[in-house]
Amino acid sequence: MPKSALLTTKLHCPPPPAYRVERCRLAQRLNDGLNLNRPLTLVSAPAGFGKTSCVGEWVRGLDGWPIAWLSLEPADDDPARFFAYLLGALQNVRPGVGQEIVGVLHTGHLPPAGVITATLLNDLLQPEDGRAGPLLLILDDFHVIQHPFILQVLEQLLDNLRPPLHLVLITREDPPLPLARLRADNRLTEIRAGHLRFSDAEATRFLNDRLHLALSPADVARLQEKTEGWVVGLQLAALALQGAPSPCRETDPTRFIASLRGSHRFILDYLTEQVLDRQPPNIRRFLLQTAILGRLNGDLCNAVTGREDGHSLLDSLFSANLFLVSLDDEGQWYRYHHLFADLLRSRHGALSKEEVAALHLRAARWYAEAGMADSAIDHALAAEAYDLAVELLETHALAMIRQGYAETVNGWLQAVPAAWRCQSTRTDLAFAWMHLLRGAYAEAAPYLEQVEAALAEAGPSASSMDSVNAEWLAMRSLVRQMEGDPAEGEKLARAALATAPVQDAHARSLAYFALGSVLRLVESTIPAVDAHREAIRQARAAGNPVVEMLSTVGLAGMAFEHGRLRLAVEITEPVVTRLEHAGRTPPISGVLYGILGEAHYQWHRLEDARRYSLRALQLSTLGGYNSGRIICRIYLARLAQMEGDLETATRELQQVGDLVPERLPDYVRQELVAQQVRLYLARNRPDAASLALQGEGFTWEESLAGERAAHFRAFAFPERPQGNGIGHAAGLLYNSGLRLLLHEALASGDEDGLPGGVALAGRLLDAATEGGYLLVALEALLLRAQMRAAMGDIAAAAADYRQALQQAAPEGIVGVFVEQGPPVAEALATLLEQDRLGDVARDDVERIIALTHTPSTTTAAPEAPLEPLTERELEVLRLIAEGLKYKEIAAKLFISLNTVRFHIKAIYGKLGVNRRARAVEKARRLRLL
Amino acid sequence: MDETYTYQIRVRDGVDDVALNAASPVKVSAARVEPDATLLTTCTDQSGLIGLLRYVHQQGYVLLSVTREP
Repeated sequence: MPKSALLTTKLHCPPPPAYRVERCRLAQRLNDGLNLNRPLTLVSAPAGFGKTSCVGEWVRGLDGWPIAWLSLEPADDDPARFFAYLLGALQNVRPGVGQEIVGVLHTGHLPPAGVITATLLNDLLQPEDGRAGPLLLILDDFHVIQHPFILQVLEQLLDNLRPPLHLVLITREDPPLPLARLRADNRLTEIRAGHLRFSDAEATRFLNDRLHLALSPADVARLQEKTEGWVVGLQLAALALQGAPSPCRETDPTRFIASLRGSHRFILDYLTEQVLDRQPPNIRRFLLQTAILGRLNGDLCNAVTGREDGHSLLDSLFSANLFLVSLDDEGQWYRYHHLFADLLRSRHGALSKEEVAALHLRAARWYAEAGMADSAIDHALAAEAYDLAVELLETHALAMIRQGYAETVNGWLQAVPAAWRCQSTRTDLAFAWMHLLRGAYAEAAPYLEQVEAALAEAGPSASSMDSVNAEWLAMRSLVRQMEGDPAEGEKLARAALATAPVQDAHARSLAYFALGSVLRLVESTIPAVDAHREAIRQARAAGNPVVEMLSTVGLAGMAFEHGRLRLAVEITEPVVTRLEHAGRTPPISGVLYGILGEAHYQWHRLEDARRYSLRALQLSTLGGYNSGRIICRIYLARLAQMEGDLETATRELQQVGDLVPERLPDYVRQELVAQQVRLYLARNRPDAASLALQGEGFTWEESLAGERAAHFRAFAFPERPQGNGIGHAAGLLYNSGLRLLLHEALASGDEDGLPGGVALAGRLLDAATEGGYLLVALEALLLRAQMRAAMGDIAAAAADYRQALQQAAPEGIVGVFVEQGPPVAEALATLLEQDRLGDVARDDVERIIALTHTPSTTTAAPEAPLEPLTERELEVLRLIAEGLKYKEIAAKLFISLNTVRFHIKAIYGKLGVNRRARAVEKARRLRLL
Repeated sequence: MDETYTYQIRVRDGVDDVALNAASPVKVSAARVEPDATLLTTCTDQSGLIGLLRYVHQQGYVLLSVTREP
C-alpha cells in the first residue's frame, strides 16, 4: 500500500478530549517503565477506562521521545495491511525505516516473518546513519489483532527489543504474547483497569472543576462507588446531570446518583438512554444514523443523513463531549467512542432495517466517489448491496491485491453470497494470479475452477467473456507448465492468444507471457523471445508492470544462458534503474539483479558481481523465494571460489542446506550440484563430488588399480528425456561430471578414462552448441582441452582453446576461463608463447592469464613444501614438468608404474597439491625446478 | 471488572504447563484433577482472563468450565 493510500488519521496520536483530567500517578507509572528500560508497556482494560486518553496525555508530555502512533481497526488484522500501516507510523518519525519491506509490500508481497523482524530491528537499532535514537511505538486497540503471522513478528520483536526502543500496546484484553515471561523478567510495565479507574480526587476534578457540576463530596463518593471509577460511566453520568441541552434536566443529583444500580453494562445502557433522551430529536436521529460510520466527517455525514449541517453538528457534539473522538488536529475527522458507537448501533431498532441498509448504501457511494474503495465495499456489503459490492470488487480487487490487501479482499469475497460471487470472475482471476505469482499453484486452483464454472455457465458463445476466458487459459497454461506438462501448457497458451480480444492488451500480455514461458521450456528460443517481446509491449500498453517484469526476466534469462551477456544487461539495466527510481522493487526483480551479477562475474568484475548478487539475495529473502536465495548463494560461493576463498565458498553452500525444501526445481538442483562438485574438487574430495553426481543419475565405472583404493575412470551421462535438448543448468551439471573425470585422471595418473571423457565432452559440446548455450559450450571446450593435453594431444587441445577464446571474445567472457585455474592459464601462456592461438586477440589471453594468477590472500598455501622432497621425487617432478606420461617416466627411470604413482602421491602430499599442473606450478614457485 | 481474582479454568485432557507458560499472557499453574481434565489456575483481572481464555483456545485446548474463587 503506497504511503499516500494510508489513512493518516490512524497515524496521529488523538488530540486531547474536550474535558481532560491530568493523571499524574499514571504518567509516573508509565515513566517508570521507560526509566527502568522495560521494552514493553501494556495498557490493558475493558472499553471505557480511558486507556487511549491516558497514553495520549502521557506522550504529549514526554520530551525527547519521537512517537510512532498507530490506531488499529479490525481491517488491520491482515498482515500486509498491518505492516504497511506499522511502517507508515514508524516512517513518520524515522524516515527510511523498513524501506526494503515497504518496497516489497507495494508489490503485493509479504516478506517472511523473520525477515520483517530482522529488518525492523536492524533499521531501528543499527541505522545506517548510526543514530539509534529513542522511539516510542504505540499500537492502539491492539485487541483487533489476532492474525498469527502478525503476532509472530511482534513476539520476535519483543524478544529482541531493547532501549532506546519502547513498545506500548493498548488493548481491551491481554494479547496472546508471552507476557508472563516478560513480567517475570521485569521487562513489562502494566497499566490495568485497577490503575485506570478514577480516584476520588480525579473524579472530583473531572466532575466539579472541568464540568462545573458542583457535586458534594458525598455525591462524588457515591457516584464513584456506583461506577467503580469507570471513566465512561462517570462521563455519561456527568452528561446526564449536566442536562444541557436537554429541556428536562435532572435537578436533584443525589436522587439521580442513588437511582444508578447494577453492573457497568446496565449503568451504561441506562445512562446512554438518559443522555440520548435528553438530546433534541434531530441530534438523536443524527447520532443514530451516523453510528454506522467508523469515521465521520461533515461531508460524509451529510451524504448519509441527507442533512447539510454535518460539519457544525460534529463540532457541537465534540464540544458537548458527546463521545466524539477527534482523529486529526484540523477537526476534520472524528469517530465515536467505541462503546458509545456500539450502544448507538444496538439502538438501531429505532430505525427500520431498510433505513439502516439505505444509510450504508449512501456511505458506500460516498466512499466510492471519494476513491476509498475499502470503506465503500465494507458499506456495500453491510447494505447487502451485492451488485455494488461485486462491481467495486471487480474494479478494485486486482489493484488491492497488488497493494497487499489479499486477506481483506478474500474476506469480502467470502461475505458475498455464492450466487453473486460467481459474477465476480475478475476477482477470482486476481486471486489466482496472486497465488501463481507467489508460486502457490495449489492455492490458485480453486479460483481457476470457479472461473471455469462461470465460463461454463456463460456458454461458449458468450463473447463478453472472451477476455476472462483468455486470462483463465493463460493461467491454466502456467499451472500446467509448472506441473511438468509443457505440451499441454503450449496448447493452452496458444488457445489463450486465439481467444484474447485484439483490443485487450492485458489479456494478450498474459497470453504472450504464458506462451513465451512454455516455448523457453521446450528450448524453442527464437519464438520464445518473440513471445516475451510481444508480452512486454502489450503489458506496457495495458499498464501491467508485473507481466512486463516477468517477461523481461524471461528475456534476460534466455540472453544470459545463451551467452549474450551484453544483451542481457541491456535488457535488465533500464528496468532495474526504473524500479530503483520508483522505490518499488518487487522480489521477482531479484532475478534481474542475479543476471547482472552473473554477467559481471563472467566479465570478471567481481565487486560488481558481488554487489548485484547480494542485492538479488536480499530481494529473494524479502520475497521468501527459496529457489532465488539458493541460486544467489550458489553464485556467491562460485565467486568466492574464483577468488580462492574456499572457506567462504563452503559457508555459502552450507547456508543453502537450510533452505532446501523437499523438492527443488530441476534447474536449481542442477546448478547446486555443479557448484558442489566444483568446490569438492577444489578441496580434493572427489568421493563427495562423485556422490553428489550419482544423486543426479551419473553412473561411474571404478578402477581398483593403482595405489588409490578406487578412482573413477569413466562415467555415463544420465539419460535425458526424448526430444528434450540440454539446458543451461543441465549443461553445467554435465560439465561438472567431466571435471571430476579430469580431476581423477590427473590425480591418479591413470589416463585411461580420458578418451571416454573427450567423447562425452564432444557430445555435450554438440548439444550445447545446438541449443546455443554458449557458457556451457565454452566450459566443455576448456575441459576437453585439458583432457586432450593430459593425453598428450597438444594440437587438439590448442584447437579447443582457440575455439573457446574465439567464441568468448565477442561478449568479453573471461570468467569461465579464470575459474578453471592455473592449468588453463599455463596452457594458454604456453600456447601464446608458441604463437599457437591463431588470430585470437593477445590482450584477451594475457588478461585471462593475469587474472588467474591473482594471488589469493585467504587460502594461499605456505610457500614451502611441508617436508623436503627426496632426490628421486625431485627427479620424477622434473619429468612430470617435461610433460612425460607416467608410463614414460617409469621407463626412463627403470621403475614400475606403481612406484611412479607412489612417488607422485608423495610429491602431491608434500607440495599440498592435487594435480600434475599444480605440482609443476608450485615447484616452479618454490624454485625446485 | 478491574479487580483481580483467582480463576480456575477446566480444560479437557492433560496440559504441559511449561509449554503453556512459555508464551502465555498471564501465568498459570496446571494440575491434573481428573483423568481427562486439567485445572488451570490463574490470578488476574477481566482483561487478563479474556486474553488467557483466547490464548488457551488458540493453543487447541477444549474449555470445559471457568469458575471464580470468592
